[in-house]
Amino acid sequence: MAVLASLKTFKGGHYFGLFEGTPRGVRLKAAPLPKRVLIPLRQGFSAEVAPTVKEGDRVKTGQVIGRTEPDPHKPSTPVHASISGRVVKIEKRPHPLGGEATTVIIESDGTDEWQLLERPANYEKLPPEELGKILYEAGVTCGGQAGFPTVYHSAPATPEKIRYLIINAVETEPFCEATDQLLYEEFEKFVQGIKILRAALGNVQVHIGLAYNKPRIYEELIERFEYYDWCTIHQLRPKYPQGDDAVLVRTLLGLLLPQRGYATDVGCVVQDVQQCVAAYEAVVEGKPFVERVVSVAGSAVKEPGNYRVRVGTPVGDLLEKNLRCNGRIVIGSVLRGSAVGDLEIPIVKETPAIIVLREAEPELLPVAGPGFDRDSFTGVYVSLPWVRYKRATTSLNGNPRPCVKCGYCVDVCPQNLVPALLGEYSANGLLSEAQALDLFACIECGLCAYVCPSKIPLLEQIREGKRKILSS
Amino acid sequence: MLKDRIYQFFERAHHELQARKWEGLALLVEGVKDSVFGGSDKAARQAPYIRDALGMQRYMGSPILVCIPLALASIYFYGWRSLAIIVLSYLVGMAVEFTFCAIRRHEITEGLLVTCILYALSLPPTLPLWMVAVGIFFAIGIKELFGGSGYNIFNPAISGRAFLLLAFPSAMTTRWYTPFNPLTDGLGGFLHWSPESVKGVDAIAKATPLGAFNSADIANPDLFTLVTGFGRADVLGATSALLVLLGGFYLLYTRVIDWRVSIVMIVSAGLTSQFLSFIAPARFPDGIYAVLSGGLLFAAFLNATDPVTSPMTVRGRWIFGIMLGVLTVLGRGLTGYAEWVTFAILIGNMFTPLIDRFTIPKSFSAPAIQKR
Repeated sequence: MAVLASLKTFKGGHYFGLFEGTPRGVRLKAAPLPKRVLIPLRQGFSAEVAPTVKEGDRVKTGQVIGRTEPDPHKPSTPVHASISGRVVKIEKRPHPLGGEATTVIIESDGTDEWQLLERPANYEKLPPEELGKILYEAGVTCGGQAGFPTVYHSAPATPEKIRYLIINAVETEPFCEATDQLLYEEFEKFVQGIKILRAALGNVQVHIGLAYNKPRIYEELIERFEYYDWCTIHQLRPKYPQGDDAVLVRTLLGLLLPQRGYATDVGCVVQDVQQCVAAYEAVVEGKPFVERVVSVAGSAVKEPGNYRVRVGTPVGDLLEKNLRCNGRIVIGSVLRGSAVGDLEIPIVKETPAIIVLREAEPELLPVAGPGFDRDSFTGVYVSLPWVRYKRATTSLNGNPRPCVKCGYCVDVCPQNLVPALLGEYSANGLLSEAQALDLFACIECGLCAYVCPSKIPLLEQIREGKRKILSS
Repeated sequence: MLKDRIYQFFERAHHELQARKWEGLALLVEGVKDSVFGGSDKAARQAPYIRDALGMQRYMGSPILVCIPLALASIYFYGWRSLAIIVLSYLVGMAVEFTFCAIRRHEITEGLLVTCILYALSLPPTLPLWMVAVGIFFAIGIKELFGGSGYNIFNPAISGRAFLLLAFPSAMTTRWYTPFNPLTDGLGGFLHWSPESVKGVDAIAKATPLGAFNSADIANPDLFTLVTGFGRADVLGATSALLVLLGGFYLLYTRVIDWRVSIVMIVSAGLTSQFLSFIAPARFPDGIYAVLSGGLLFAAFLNATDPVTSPMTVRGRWIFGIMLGVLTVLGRGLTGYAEWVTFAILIGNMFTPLIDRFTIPKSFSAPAIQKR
């Protein structure tokens, strides 16, 4: 095994302060079984599958409720029921990642009776194809980054082209603490899961990217992988967006992802902690991927926590009686996720967190204060070591102004772009100019819009520009 | 709560004025509300849903914060007349900006407040007050003609100063006050209108340190005078290099200005002058003297780093900084004219769009591949 002593990091990025309502160090708890789940048949950006159940059917937890035979052009995995009960409805509903999807609504019967997968007798001896098939059957797809096609992260993609398996154990999104917690609590499953995923990909090289502020995990990982020459452990600075595919692959291996491409295009499969654990549970315990860890966090949440949540649980169930005040409900990520007004939106496999932020409220002369509880890319606000939490509201913290070309977006961009120009060109319809500046190299981390003192919605402008180009 | 009541008062006033179709007044009330509440009441509509605590107010407030000690020092050095210059700049500047805002119906931006004080602090203490007014009228007017803060191509404070240099060259460059010296004058300017009102003609100095270097018959001040500004005749804000340095380092630390413009400009000017002083010692002072004279520190930290008129890219800022430093020293030495910091910045401003265009960084991505 190769252990790299030096800390790796990348150009740009931002260390977020600890925002109020971050469930750091809160142990994982099983959320109560939902009364009803809404399971979309489209996962992430993969193809929608056809339902295999009818309204009125009884299903068990882990039973397949939708599948379409895999097709390299339209990747998908089977979709499973996450509770046992009765299918009450199959209808089009809004999908948490945008758009609509056929959704199977299951009402619980309260028994939570499982239908497990067939367990192989000796999984360590299985050939890659068999393992890949189990992972496919179990619906192990990517979590975390919404917006990347799930199946490109999972084993059945294109194993012959894959040279590296990259384990993303560096969570840098503000508020997302559940995966870190999973790493601490299910370390054994995580380690075995890495071995399973590696075997499924045909014994490729493994690179583990771990945040350097977890020395205990680091030492244990070294202990576990000491005698394997296929494993390299990298220590990374926990700077956002280190966990993003493009940034992670570049930091660990120095490979550049093609624009509009994925990690698989450079021979890498990126998996995060949740996927490793899910792979273990699928292969060893025969459990399909129907439960994931979710952080319930934010300044409007009474008791922030990390929960094991069944896929399809409505957001409202998790927030019930846990809100201090009304707030903005954001799915997934406060930087790139989307706000929802609908409490019926389900948790899906790509949802690492539900964040509820207090709404902006007027403050008298905020410009004059020392701002002990403010998070800023610049140093104009004073930090005190005993002020632990930074304020987190939806406030813009400033009035919208024309761009003054301060260059903070250039400094902070992990992809070495000029976001101010990209945003300006996109907003004004200068699409070819925007493309000439590598619009599609943007990973939409949202940092440019975060740091902008003129409060220009750069992320939205860039996304709009991409949409316009793709639809033309 | 008090803040809620104030907020509601503004909301109601705005509403009432709009109902009566007094659009201009309604806009003004909205503007006052925005500056009192700093945009904290405005919510993010799209991702990201949390935003950096830094808004334009605080961003533009930082250079003003740095200018406050400089302004106090200028009152000490040159008497209350310097405050009159600052206040007059603000009054005229605001009048011009408000007029444009009312006609063109755009919001009043914070940049104005920075421009006015930077302009005032870069004037000689002897300048007649009406000239002060003319200069700031030109500075803000030309900025607004280009579309206001964010769209101007020249640094407004510097363009106002350049205008005065060309329109009133002798008033801008030949009459100076010897400042009150804390070592001998006690409370100094805090008790007087100007050095001239106490000492009469004795207070008139012939030249700034750079002027002294360029002229054969005036002795060069020593290093202590240059750094502290005790007894050194110069423009209002740049008299004490020490204070300017302190303020500059604060701005660098808080990341409000970029070291690639300021430090690079200072170092390149120092190195160029040092090198050329070996070749032509009569024309070029040594590096330290070049940096500490002619308002170079003040301009490098506060004028050259103006975000709007300096490049945005990292490489661009390097080029800009080096260009300004070298141009300043070359201009000073070859023309014998002490005000080349101003012209170097103006020339740099002209090149900014071009520099930005040719220094776009290469993105960390491979070209798109043909999809299956």
